Formats: sequence, C-alpha cells, structure tokens
Amino acid sequence: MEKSYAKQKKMIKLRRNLFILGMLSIALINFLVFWVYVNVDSILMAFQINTRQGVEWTLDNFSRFFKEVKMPEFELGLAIENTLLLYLVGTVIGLPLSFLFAYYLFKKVPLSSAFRVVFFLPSIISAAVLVTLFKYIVAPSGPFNELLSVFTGKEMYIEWVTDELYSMKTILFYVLWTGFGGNIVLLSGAIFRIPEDVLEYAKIDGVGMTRELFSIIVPLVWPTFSTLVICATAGLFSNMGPVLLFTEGQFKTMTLGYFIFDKVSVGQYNYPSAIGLIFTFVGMPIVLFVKWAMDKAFETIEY
Amino acid sequence: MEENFKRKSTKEKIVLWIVFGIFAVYAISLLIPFVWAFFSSLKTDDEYYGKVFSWPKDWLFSNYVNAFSQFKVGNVTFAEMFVNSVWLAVGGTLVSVMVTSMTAYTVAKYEFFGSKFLYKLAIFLMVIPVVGNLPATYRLIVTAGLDNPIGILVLWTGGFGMNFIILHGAYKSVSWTYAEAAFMDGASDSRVYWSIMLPQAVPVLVSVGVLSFIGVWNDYQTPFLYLKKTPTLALGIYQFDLMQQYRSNIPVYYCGVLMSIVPVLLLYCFMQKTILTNTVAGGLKG
Amino acid sequence: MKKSKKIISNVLVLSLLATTALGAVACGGGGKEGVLSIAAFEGGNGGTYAQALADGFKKYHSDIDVDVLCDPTVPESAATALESNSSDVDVYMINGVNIGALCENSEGALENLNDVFTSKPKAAAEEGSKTIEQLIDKNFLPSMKYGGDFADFANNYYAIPTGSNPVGLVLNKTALDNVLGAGNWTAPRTSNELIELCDAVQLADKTVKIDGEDHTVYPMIYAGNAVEYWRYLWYCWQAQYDGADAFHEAQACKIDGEYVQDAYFSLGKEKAMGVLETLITRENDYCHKDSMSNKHTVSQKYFMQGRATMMCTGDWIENETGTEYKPDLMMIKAPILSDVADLIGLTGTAAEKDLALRELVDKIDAGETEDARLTEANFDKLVEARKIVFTLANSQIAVIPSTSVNKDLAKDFLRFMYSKEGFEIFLNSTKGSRLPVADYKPSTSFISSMTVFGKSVYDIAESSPNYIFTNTNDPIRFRAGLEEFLANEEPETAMGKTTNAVSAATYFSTEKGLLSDMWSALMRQVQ
Repeated sequence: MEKSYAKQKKMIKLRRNLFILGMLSIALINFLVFWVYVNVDSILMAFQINTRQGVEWTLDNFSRFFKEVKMPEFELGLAIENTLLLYLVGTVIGLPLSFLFAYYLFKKVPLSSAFRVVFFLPSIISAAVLVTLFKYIVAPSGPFNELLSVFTGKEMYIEWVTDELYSMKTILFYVLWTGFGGNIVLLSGAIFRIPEDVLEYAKIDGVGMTRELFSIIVPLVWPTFSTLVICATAGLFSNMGPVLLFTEGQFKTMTLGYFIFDKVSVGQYNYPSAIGLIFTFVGMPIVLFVKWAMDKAFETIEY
Repeated sequence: MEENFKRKSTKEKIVLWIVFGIFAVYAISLLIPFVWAFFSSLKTDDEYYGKVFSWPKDWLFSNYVNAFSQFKVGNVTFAEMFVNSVWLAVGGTLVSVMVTSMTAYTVAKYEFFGSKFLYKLAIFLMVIPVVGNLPATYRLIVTAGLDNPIGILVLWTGGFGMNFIILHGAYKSVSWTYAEAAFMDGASDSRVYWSIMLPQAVPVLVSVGVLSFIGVWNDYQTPFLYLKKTPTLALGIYQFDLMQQYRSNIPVYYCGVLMSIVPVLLLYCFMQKTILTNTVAGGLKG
Repeated sequence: MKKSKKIISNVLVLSLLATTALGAVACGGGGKEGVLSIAAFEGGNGGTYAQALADGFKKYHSDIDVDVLCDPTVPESAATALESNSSDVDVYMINGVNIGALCENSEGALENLNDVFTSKPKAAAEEGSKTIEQLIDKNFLPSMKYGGDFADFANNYYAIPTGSNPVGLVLNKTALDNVLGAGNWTAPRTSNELIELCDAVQLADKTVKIDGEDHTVYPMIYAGNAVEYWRYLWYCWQAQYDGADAFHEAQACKIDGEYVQDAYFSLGKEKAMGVLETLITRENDYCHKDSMSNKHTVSQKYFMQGRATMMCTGDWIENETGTEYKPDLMMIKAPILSDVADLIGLTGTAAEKDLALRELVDKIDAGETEDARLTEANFDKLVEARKIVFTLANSQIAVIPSTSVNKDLAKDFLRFMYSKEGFEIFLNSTKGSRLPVADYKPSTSFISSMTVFGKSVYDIAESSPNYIFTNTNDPIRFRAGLEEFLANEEPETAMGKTTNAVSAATYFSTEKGLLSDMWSALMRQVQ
C-alpha cells in the first residue's frame, strides 16, 4: 500500500515536471536560439577590437567610455542626464497620471469610450508620422507660433525643436503628451479585473472616490502598476525616446539609447556593445531595487 | 451608464465634470494634428507651403485617389497589404500571447529549480541593449528558410519580454484557492491552467493582446527584411514615407497617412467593444 | 482524458513550431539560377532605371529571366543581407556600401569584380578597344577597391560606379533677377564675391509673392536635416587650397602615405570653415531663418519658389521638387577660395587681390593658358583649383554579393550597363544621370531637351572636372571608426544654430584636440 502511494506521488511529481517543461519549452528554445545563439557574438564584441592582425581581445572599449564620459564634446554625460529626464517624465510623472486617467475612465466620465479611443491614438499611429505632424505644427513659421503671436501680440519665432534652449523640453513634452495610451489600456485591464462586489460593498459603506481610489483600487491594481514601473526602469538606459525622429541627437538632446544607435548605424559595434554592458551592470541593481521597493509598498493580494 | 452616473453624489459629479474638462482639452490637443493633416491633404503642394492658416482652395479629394494609387509595394495593392497585415498581426499576437502566458503562468505559480532565476532573466533581457545582432538573426532566419508568412511567426515565440513581466504580475495576483480545489478534484496541471487560471487573466491577456497586435501591425522591419513578397501595410507606409523624401508632395503624403490610420482605428474601436464586454464577463466561469 | 488533453495541447503547440519550420523550408529564401535578381535604390533619380536596364539586357539574353526590385528600402535591407552574407540578390544598385567592413568582418561578402574591370563593355557584342577600367574616370577607381591590407582582398575591385552627376552651389537665376535686376549680378567667381552677392541680396531687401503672401528673399537657404549639403561647396574650398590629391589623402588621414594627425586638419580646411562660418552664422542672417528647422524637401521647395537665391544641392532638385514654380536654376562651379590668392603669389590689398583673382578665373574659364601676373606653376595651380568639383558618384555603386547564384550573368549585366546602350538607357531613364565615362556623350537630342539647369550641370560635367568626394575606404575610417567629424555635433549645425553657436576656429581646435586624444587608440587598429 505504501509502495504504491509513494509511486503515485512520484508519478504526480513527474507529470508536474513534464507539465512545467512543456509549458516552458517553446520560450526556452526561442531564448536559446534567438537570443543566446544570435547574441553571443554581439556581446563578446564589447571585449574586442578589429586590428590589422584581425580581432583582438581588450578592455579598451570600456576604458574609452570612462574617458569620454568626462569630455563634453562627446555628450555622454549629457546623454545620461537626458535619459534620466526621459525616465522622470515618462515614468515617474507619466505612469501615475496614466493611472489617474484610467481610474476616471473607469468611473465613467462622460464620453469615456470616445476618450479611450482618442487617448490611444498616438500609440496606434506610427511614431514617424506623429512626429512629422508634431514637428510641422511647432515649426518656427508654423501654426503653433502663429497662435502664440496672436495671443501675445508679439511676433513669436521660437525654434522649439532646433533651439538648444527648448529642444529637450519639447521632446519631453511630446513624450508625456503621447505616452498615456498603452499604459491606460493595461491599467484599465487591471482595474476591470477588480470584483464588482468589492466596490459595491465599499459604496454601501459610504466610501468616497478618493478613499476608493487609494484604499481599494491602488492596492488591488498594484501588481500591474508596479510591473509597468519595473518594465520602464528596465528599459531606462536603452530607451532612446523619439530622439531619432526629432533631432538625431543634435541641439543637446543626446540620449544613451540614441548614442548607441548612432554608432551602430555607421557600422561601429564594439564600443556601443561595451557601453550597453556597462549600463546593464548599472541598470540591473537599480531595477531589482525598484522591484524590491514596489513589492514592499503593498502586499500582493490574490483575488 | 447613465444610471451609474446618476447614482453618484453631487461632489463626485463635480469632480467628474472637472476631469471631463481636462480630458476634453487633452483629447482636442491630440486630434488637432489629424484635423490639420486632413485639411492639408486637400491642398496642392505649393498651397501647403503658402499661408499657415488657410482653407484649401480647391478641395482636392483627388489627392486621395493619387495616394491610393501610389500606395503600392511592387505590384501588391492596398487591399492585399491589408490582408497580409491582418495575418501577421493576428498570427503574431496569438503566438506571442499564448507562449508568454504559458511561460509567465508557470514561473509565477510553480516553484521549481530556476523559477526565480527565470524572472530575473526576463528583467535582464529587458535591461541589456544588444547591438549588431541583426545580421546574425537575418542569417539564421534565411538559412532556416523561415522567411515566409508562416515561418516568420517563429520570431514571436519569445516568452520573456515586457508582456512576461506583466502577465507574471497578473498571474501572481490570481488566487490559488480555485486551483487547489480543482487539484483535490483530480484535475491535472494542464486542465487547471486552461480551464481555471487562464480565464481569470483574460482582461489582462486581452489588454496585452491589443498592445501586441498594434505593435506587430506597425512593425515594418520584419516585412522588409523577410517578407518582401508579401508586404504589409506598415511596410507600405514606411516606403511611402521614404519616397516622400524624394518626391515632395506633402498633401498626398498626408492622404496616405490618414488612409493608413483608418483600418487600425476601426479595428481598435471594434476591439474596444469586445474588450469591454469580455472584461465584464471575464472571471470565474462556473 | 485529462492526461491526453494535456499531451494533445502541448503536442499541438510544438507541432505548430515544427510545421512552420518544415513547411517554410519549401518556400524559403535563396536565389534561383537563370533568374537574375536585381535590387535597386529608388531615390531622387526615380525607380525606372533598373527595369529599363534589365529590359535592355534581356534583349541579348533571351533565355533568362530578370527580376527587378526597386524601392527606397533596398539600401537598408541590402546592408543587413550583405553583412550577414546571406543575400539572395544577384546585383545591388545602391548608394553606399562599406567595402572594407564587408570584406574584413563578413568573410568577404562581396564578389571580386576584377574581371569586369579588365573586360570590355558588351551589349550585343564587345565594344571598343578600352577596358571598363580604362573608361571609368580614374578618380573613382581607388574607392571601388578594398582599401585595407588583408591579403585576401588587397587591390581587388568590389564595386563599380553607376550613374551620377556633379553637385554644388545652385543659383536661382529667376530669384536673383527679381531681387537685383537682370544683368546686375554675376555668378560669383571667388568666395569674397559670393559674400558680396549675399550682402547685395540682403541690402536689396526684396520680397517675393507666394500665394498672396509676401516673403522676404534671403541670399541662401539650407536644410537642418541635410547640413552635409554644405560640404558640396566648402570641401571644394579645402581642396582648392590644399590640392585635390592632398584632399583625397586627407580622407584617410594621411600625408604622403603615412598616417599624420595634421592631415585631417589642414590649413585649407581651417580657411574653408572660416568662410562657411561667415555664410551660415545667424549673426549675418544670410540664410533663410527656417533653414535649420526645415527638411531638405521643404528648403528645396522654398528655393524653387524664390524665397532664397542660392542653395547647395544636387542635380535631383528639379526632379524631386514638383511645383508650379519653374525658375531658371544654374549650378556653378565652386567659387575659388579667396585665400588662394596668397598661395599663388598675388599681391596688394585684399580687394585688389580678389579682383585679380576674379579676372584670372574668367580667363581660365575662357580657355586661356597663361597670365603675366602669375608664374606658370601658379597658373597651373589655379587651373587645377578651378577644375575641382564635388560629386557623390563614388557612392552610387553596384555590387555583386558573394552568395549570388548567377555571378557570371550578374557580371555580364554590369558589362552591359557600361556599354553605349547601357549609358543611354541610364541617362534617359534618370533624366540626366551619367556613368563616369568621359568618352560617352549624351546625344544632341538629349542635350537639346535639357532644362537650363540640366544644361548647367552638363556643362560642368563636360569641363574635364577634377572630382573630389568623401571616401571611407581607408582602414582608419572603416575599421578604427574615425568619423568625418569627431565631436557629436556637425560643424554646420554647431556654427549655424540659434543658441550657443560656435565659431569655426573654436570648432576646429576642439576637433584637433579630440583627434589627438584618440590618436593612439586609432593607430592601434591600423598599424
């Protein structure tokens, strides 16, 4: 009797392991083939340079970064600064705002289904198209400056994109202005999963909107919200923002992601690969810390 | 919806109307570029460079006919490109969401050797920017003969991306009690996943699916590298965009842009309805 | 039942993968023998030239098929396909390929074209007595070869030029007549005269009516997304001062075959940049105020409309800019850098020297071979300077991937392209772009159908120009990664931007400092 019970337990364990393996198999194969196999050369390139004698192993690419980051002409320090600004605006400000938007849409603000579609519009349209339209509107001789001139009574000829004083700010504005769509969809999906009865009971108990928002919705939706924060933090250093389409990194809008892209587009792989690795080592602890902090803030509630 | 709104307190209503005002301003600001593009699309190229604020002189709807005829990749027409887009987007989304869901569920709900590592791996993969891997990927796909509409779906069988993190979080918050009950009834792991846990995550799955769909729909790089014989709308738009660099006719360009938005917009409006009905119904089914 | 369901679902998913892989192999990639596959870049010159050439080629090869793909994304997909050494195309006709990197890093992704160069052009039969190598303008030959010293590739040809034309300073004659009055201006012969012309246009303060609105006419215009068009002008100045050979060597950071830092930052470059600064700086207001924010299509449009009188651009401007405004345009040779007066021994005040220089240029243009004011050597130097014309021809090329399955056919195609018939086809389908072969002349009917602008470009191309161009063939460029300019900002942007604009002298000295810092790392990769 005991023998067959032990055997049964073993069978269950085996089946479970097969199940796990089966579920993970496709993703693992894809990972091994399309990531490890394809990328191993690219990652090793960080430790190589091409010389007359062929490929040589070296740490020069790394030391080059640490040297050049102190030189303003290469704009690496500026790139780091701008990258952090993009994160600040897109994530630290943008995500909570998206959450508020999602909440009010959930509360059925009048015309909320129409708003959902309009807010999502920037995410549907190809970025190239949207930036072209935006650039035309804020062009120095374009409609936006014309309107400003009318309102202020003075001739307004501001180069919003090509003047160093304004260009990064314009890009940051654009990022915030177009960044709600995807986040609202995901957060709405999470809010919708909250059981209706929980909210009904709260309403019967006389809970107002603010309390409902902060004491019920936020904790229940926290996993989704925190994963969005974690994902944004993970992409912190590789996100180039819309810099390629706006300014190609000129007028003091350089970001790390664009710096890497620019070097790759002229066929240089070793140096940007090294920079990528450096910021992976910087980024991983930051992301894990953010994850820890987010997990600490609210306990995951299952429902 | 009206009922719901009426049942709210006056204070709530005021707050909602204020928010409505803010939303309206923001929505109008988002729509203005498209309204602008529409009016510009009806001008001649020279008119477009003329006065900033002016109505089109002759409302050239012929520009749309012009754009439609220019919207060709080789001999493939707009309609064919649309079909190719739908196939790729639907296929890619289904594959991607299914694989990611399976992976995220397993890592979230089961403890096994390496489960914590896999989560950290997913984050690591998002952090590290790998450069210069395009030629290697290209060589792999072409040598394996995967550069066709069916084979290329293999590119979307990756289970560790942003969607993994989102679905992992979603599955983590789905209660395990139902599963435990089912196990006691003799259900297998597979049945628990497909019949009990997966349906609970449907709202999140649908959201993730919508975003993936839009992403695949707008991806032009995959078609132009691997699917030259079956181009998609995204590739058509990209080429159309590039052509404008060499044949400046901005009004016609705007026509093409607006036309290309319509299918996606209609799809999204349609999907939004299904999303909403689905999410209300989503939950444990008896 | 439940167990089998689990198995079934897993098997289903895995079989999806398997069938995609298997079923896909049947219709996978790879070229076909007997079908010549051509991929061409559709750009400013339109998209019909490749098909036209293919049709012409087929006349003499009726047993094969030709498959032509011509669109603007070809260069991008070509780059990936070549880098991964897995292209299924037989001939690429694109604008720019990194021969050095493709040879060294992609295990020789390009086919050796030596036998094409040493053979004669061929349409129905072999033509003429010269090989293709002898026919092509010798200025371009070195940049068609692998420029490094890996033994497997050294001294081999890997690319062949297709069609192109001079690029440079273009004047809007109609606009200049409008502003200054017909007959009241001359095409500038020196850089000082160019600046004086800008002053005159600025002083006249005229407007042009477009669609009922008045717009100020500016002397010059450029585009912020294409500031490199300026180099069609100021690189000529650099070459005029330093000499064309020195200019070509400077592309490889070399003087007399040796790597030298100062090669990159010559006196000619410094002086040329100084004049560029005068033209582009906001303080002088010579350039249209929208220039930096404009895309090149917009700036070209403004130029055609007459909102500016001069622009550095290329022969595509008439083709690209469809408009009801059809002004008379004229491309001129780069005015002589006024500092050259000192080099050739002219004396006097600055105004006197420049006047003398202008007279000398007129004499050279008229075909005279000497002048009392100059020694023979100095006169020749000026003649050489006057011949310098910038071109993009070295980057409009055709290559054959080494993975091609129709190599002989592809090479025959290139030989056809270089026949008289191929030349005519190319010229007619691109409305004026020509192979760099001096022996081939456009037909008189074609010449008479040219616009005023087309004729001006033709005249420059026919004047036995000494072509200069940017060239990244040397290992210090393609292997060590030495870029055109080391700082992140282009010089034109740095000097022409609104806020914190930099002077030419500052930019120049910053660049020198940066090169000095990087020098040892660069040398490690090339020596």
